[in-house]
Amino acid sequence: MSKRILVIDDELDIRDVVCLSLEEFGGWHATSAASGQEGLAQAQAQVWDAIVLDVSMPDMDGVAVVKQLQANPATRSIPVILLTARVLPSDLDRFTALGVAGIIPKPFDPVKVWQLVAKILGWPTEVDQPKG
Amino acid sequence: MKISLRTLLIGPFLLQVLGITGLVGYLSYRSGQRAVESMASQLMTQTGQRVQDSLNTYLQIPKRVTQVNGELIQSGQLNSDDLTTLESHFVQQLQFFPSITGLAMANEAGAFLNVARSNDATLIIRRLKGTPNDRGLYRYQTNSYGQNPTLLEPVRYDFDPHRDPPHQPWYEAAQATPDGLWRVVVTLQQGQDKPLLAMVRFNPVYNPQGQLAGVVSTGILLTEISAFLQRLVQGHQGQVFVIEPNGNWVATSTGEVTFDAQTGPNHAQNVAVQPRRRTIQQSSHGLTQAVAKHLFAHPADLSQIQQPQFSVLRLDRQRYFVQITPLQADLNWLLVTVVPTAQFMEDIYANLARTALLCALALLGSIGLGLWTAEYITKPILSLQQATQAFTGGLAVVPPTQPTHIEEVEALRQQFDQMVGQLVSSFRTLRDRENTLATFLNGVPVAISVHDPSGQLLFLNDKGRKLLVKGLVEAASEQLSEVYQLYVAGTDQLYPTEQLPVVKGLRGITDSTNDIEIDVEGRRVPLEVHTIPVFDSDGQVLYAINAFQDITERRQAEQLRANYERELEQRVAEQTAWLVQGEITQQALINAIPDLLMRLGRAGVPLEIYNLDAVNWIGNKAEIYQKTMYENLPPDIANQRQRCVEAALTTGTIQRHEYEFSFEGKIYYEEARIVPVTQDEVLVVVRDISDRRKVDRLKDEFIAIVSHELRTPLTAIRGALGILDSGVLNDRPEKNQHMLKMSLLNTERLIRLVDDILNLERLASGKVKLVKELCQVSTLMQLAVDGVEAIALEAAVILYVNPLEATVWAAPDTIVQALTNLLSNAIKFSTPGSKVWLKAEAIAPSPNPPAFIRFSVTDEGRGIPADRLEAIFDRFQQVDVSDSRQRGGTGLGLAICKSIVEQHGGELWVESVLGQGSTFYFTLPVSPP
Repeated sequence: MSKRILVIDDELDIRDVVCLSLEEFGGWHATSAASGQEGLAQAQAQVWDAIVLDVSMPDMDGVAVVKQLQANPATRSIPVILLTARVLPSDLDRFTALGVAGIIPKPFDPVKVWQLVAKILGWPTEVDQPKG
Repeated sequence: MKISLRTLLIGPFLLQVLGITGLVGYLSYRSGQRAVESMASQLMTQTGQRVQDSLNTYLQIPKRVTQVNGELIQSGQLNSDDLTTLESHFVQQLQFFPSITGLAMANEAGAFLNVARSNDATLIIRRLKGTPNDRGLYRYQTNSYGQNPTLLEPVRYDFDPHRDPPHQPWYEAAQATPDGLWRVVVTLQQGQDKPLLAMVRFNPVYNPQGQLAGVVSTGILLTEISAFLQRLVQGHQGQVFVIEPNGNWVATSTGEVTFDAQTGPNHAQNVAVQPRRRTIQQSSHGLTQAVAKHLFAHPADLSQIQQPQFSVLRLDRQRYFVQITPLQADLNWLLVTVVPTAQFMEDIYANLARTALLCALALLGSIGLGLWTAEYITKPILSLQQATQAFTGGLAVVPPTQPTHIEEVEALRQQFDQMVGQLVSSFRTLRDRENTLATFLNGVPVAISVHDPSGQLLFLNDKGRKLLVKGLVEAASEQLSEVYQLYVAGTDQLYPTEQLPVVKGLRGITDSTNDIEIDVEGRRVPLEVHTIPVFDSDGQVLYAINAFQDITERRQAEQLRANYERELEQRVAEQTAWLVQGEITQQALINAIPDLLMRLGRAGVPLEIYNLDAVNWIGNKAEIYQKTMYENLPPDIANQRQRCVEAALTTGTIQRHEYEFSFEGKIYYEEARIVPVTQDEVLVVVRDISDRRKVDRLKDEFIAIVSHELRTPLTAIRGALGILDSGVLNDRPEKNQHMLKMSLLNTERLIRLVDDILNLERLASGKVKLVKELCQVSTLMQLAVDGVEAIALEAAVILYVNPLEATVWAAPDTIVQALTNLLSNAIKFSTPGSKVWLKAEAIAPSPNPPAFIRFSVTDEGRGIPADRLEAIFDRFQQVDVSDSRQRGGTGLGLAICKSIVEQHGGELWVESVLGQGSTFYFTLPVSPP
């Protein structure tokens, strides 16, 4: 069964690109949420194999979302991958300390982003991944 | 004549010593010389004997050889007629006896053979056969073995061995003396032109039958004998020679030729012996001549000498020993030996030098001893004499006399010292008494005068003479003031004489005053005067004694003290003012320092605190000096502070620590520096660095925002283009189109952002020179409204404009930009259906004309929190971080507006009520500055 991934980002364009990449190249099923609040609701409503989460969001940022997810037993075990434009070493240290599965810095190559996700999560990648 | 003691002691002693030493030296020299002369005589005798023995041995050889040759012929072993055999025999003998000069033989038949040495190791052989056919004398030269004969020209035919020499032929003489004889002959063996004298031994030879067969001879050249003597004395000074008793000279060691070697044309004369002989007196050697003169000075017959004779000769300051010794009996010769005495006298001279040295040493020692003794005796006596002279001359201090070990002199000295001591002490006592009173009066530090009853001055001490400079002049009581120039103090009025203390004293009254001034060489001197009368036994005044002194210094001191007190008061006042001033300055300085300053003891209790308000003091300010500093800090910071204080006190270096704490809900950052002052005190300087921390944090935030702002559109562009490029959407054109559009929109967003950043940078750095002109305010407003109409419509916001007909001095484009930014901000933060106003008003500080135009943009949005009212004009300082994305702004709009307005010399600010709306204002000048 195809993996199910939730993408949370306030930027519509980024959501579109990430979802396209995961679906078209990874062959997985991707669903998006436009804010932290919406993302948390989605995370609890369904079963997810992974969450790709943007850090810089208005109202509720990625760090707050991770803490909420970890606070809830239902969502605690879902691996989270952070997307961020903050690439200072001090920022990266702070994010790693949250206990997330991995970090993908912006800007990223959409053709390769699914590979990064697979690698972080230890999922098998077939070279001849079917298109679509 | 007077002689000093020293001379008397030394003179005779010295003469005595010199005499004894000289005598001893002379005797020693004399006896030494005699001993040496006797020794020298013995040595000479020995030397003469040795020379004599050698010479005898030497002369024995020709004698023996001649005898042997005669015996050989007589025994028939040699034949006197066989000249050939004889010749080889003679050659052998010459080789064997190197001292022999030549050998010869003449026989009865008149044959002659002579073998002789030549100068150059060759032999000369003369041969005469004596046959009737050949009477020629042939001379040959051969080698040393008699071989290789060469005939030497000319051949003589006039030689007859029996008649040689013609007048006194040796052949006859030899015949007459069977035992043989010595004769001096002339030999021509070296050639007729080289006549030489030789000493020849002749012996007659008989045949075995006893008949005379001929004569054999052996010769030694006199020159050879001389050479022998020369060898004998070689290496010694002095000389040896041999003479005949008549003075004929035979041989000498000096190298002279002892005969005449001249040749003449007459052969007979050439071969004659006697003319060639020379006497010893004919020697050219100086010493030889002198000896000859010495020998023949006394006409004693030298032939009578049987024993060696010894004598001494002086020549050229040299002494020579001369000894004459007779030689053997058959040769009546005398051997003379001459030796310089110096050869023997070296010892005596050495002895003499030693004697002289010892004498000199003895002399010096004796003189030294004599001098010391004389000095030892005379010194104490002289010192006594000096002391006596000094005493007689009146010297105050008599030089101390020298103690001595000589009993008599010492006694004399002690008596003298005692006598001098008594005399000196008597003199001193006498003089002391005389001077005591005068000294006393002169010594007192006040002036003293003594007056008789008439007022006349009788005595004045040294001090007094300095004040009463006229001294002891005639003056009665009523004249004293005038004569001695006495005035009433502070006036030119002469002091009334009847008031003078001395005049009162003469009336029997003891009095004193200090209001008298005296004129001393033009200078007024204030005086203090005391007078006491001296009464006789009848109660009559005898004298008045007047004591007075200059009180100028006392007066000056009083004046000075008054001045000083006044000055001191003034100084104190000045100092006080200065101190107050200093205190104020110091306080101002401390107040200017933005830090809390605290002097702290080791225990942690503050000693002094300044600027308590500079930091956030969390303790009770009323009791800062009652508690330790640590009790007024949170526990962890207190621990840290305490460690720093201890470290500062221990190491003597400045310690520093930074910390943060929360107080009344706020977080503060502080920096404390602990400066060691003494061993038990530190200075604590605390600074609030919250603002600095805030700035740091803002800077970090700014970087993060810029990074995020730039990366977000870039990520979208990168992603869209990547998907397009992969071709995964090739069969879905509408999605491809979406990706393209996304790229374009994000590119525009990126451009806007970069433009804003660059704009702001240019404005802020002042690199863009704004071109300003007079602009119509209404026109500017209209242009701005045109720019935002579209988005206002989109956001359903209603725009109201209150234009103003006026001009401003501005760069129009930038003002339109600023208005547009403000308007679009207002629209962005307005809810649909709400209103936005744009207004312009003239502001006139004085009645007219207006100096500034004020623009305002008002909205009905959510408003701005009070603490953000200023910050929103900073870069990327939206009220909310998310605003930039939500409202599509770059976060730089207000910063750009502020920069533009300030470049025009205007002001930008905002007034806002949360939940009701905000109004942004800015002003612009109406005319150029």
